[in-house]
Amino acid sequence: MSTDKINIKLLHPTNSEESLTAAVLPTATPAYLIQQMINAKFIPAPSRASQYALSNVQTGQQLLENTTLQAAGLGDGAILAVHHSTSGAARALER
Amino acid sequence: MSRLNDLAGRRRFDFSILTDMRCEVFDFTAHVNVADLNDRKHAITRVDDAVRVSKYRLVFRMPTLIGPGRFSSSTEIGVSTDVVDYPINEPNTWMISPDVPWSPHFREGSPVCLGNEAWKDHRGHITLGHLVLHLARLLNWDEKGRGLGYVGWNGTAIEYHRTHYRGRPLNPDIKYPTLPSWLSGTPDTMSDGFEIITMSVAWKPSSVEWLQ
Repeated sequence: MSTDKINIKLLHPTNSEESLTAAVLPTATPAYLIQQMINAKFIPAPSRASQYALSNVQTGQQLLENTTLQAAGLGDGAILAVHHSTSGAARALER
Repeated sequence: MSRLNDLAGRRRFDFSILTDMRCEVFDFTAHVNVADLNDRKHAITRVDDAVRVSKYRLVFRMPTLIGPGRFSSSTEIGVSTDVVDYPINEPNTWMISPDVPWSPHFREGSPVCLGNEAWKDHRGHITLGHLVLHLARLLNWDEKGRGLGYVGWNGTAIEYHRTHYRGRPLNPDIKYPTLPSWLSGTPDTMSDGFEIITMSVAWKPSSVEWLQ
């Protein structure tokens, strides 16, 4: 398993002016990266009815939450967009 | 499971998290009562004994403003989890350090103004570890803008910070404590696997206010 870190850029879900560049292991998963972004207060913790996901900006493809960056074919310089979604049922409940 | 068992488990949980967050800028002692905390006596050091712990002395070794151009290198904050419906309700906090941070969130004789977003909004899905992260950022003035009208408990300090730091943290290079990797189910091999190089957060004086 490679232990050399790669640099990735994460784009904020609601403000395109905000980004976070981090050195991470290629074995990092979207679930792990999202938790780290919450820890860093780059994004707020999701509510019970919402969740985050990552997508490859270059291809538009959404990453599976437990697939490693390496397995998704992502390397140094990758740019990932953070998406925030709320379930429709939850929206109805909140009304 | 009874509420008593819930509380015992929760106390061990909080203690374990804080134990694994000790670092250059953060340390703590845990106590059974305020008298021991004040006297710095009988600190609990084993997780098995943490079921009795409800008082913490949090120690932040990082510079923070205590007046215009004046800094304190260390701040100690008391925390008590002996509150009704903890962790739904936020723990009590109080200043232990003689120098109160010069900030809209700190005031002599008052609990730290955490804001709903730091605890209450999480409806119990939050730990003392998250509180430590929040307090560290408050001490470093590392938070998003709360709007031009926001003055909190110290409008003068806000104006000073805006003028001298332009909304930026006091120390942008500080290495904050981090939540233990086991909390997010991250394998140990991932420890320190996320190193922030740059984080650009737009400074927006008119941004949404996220304090109550």
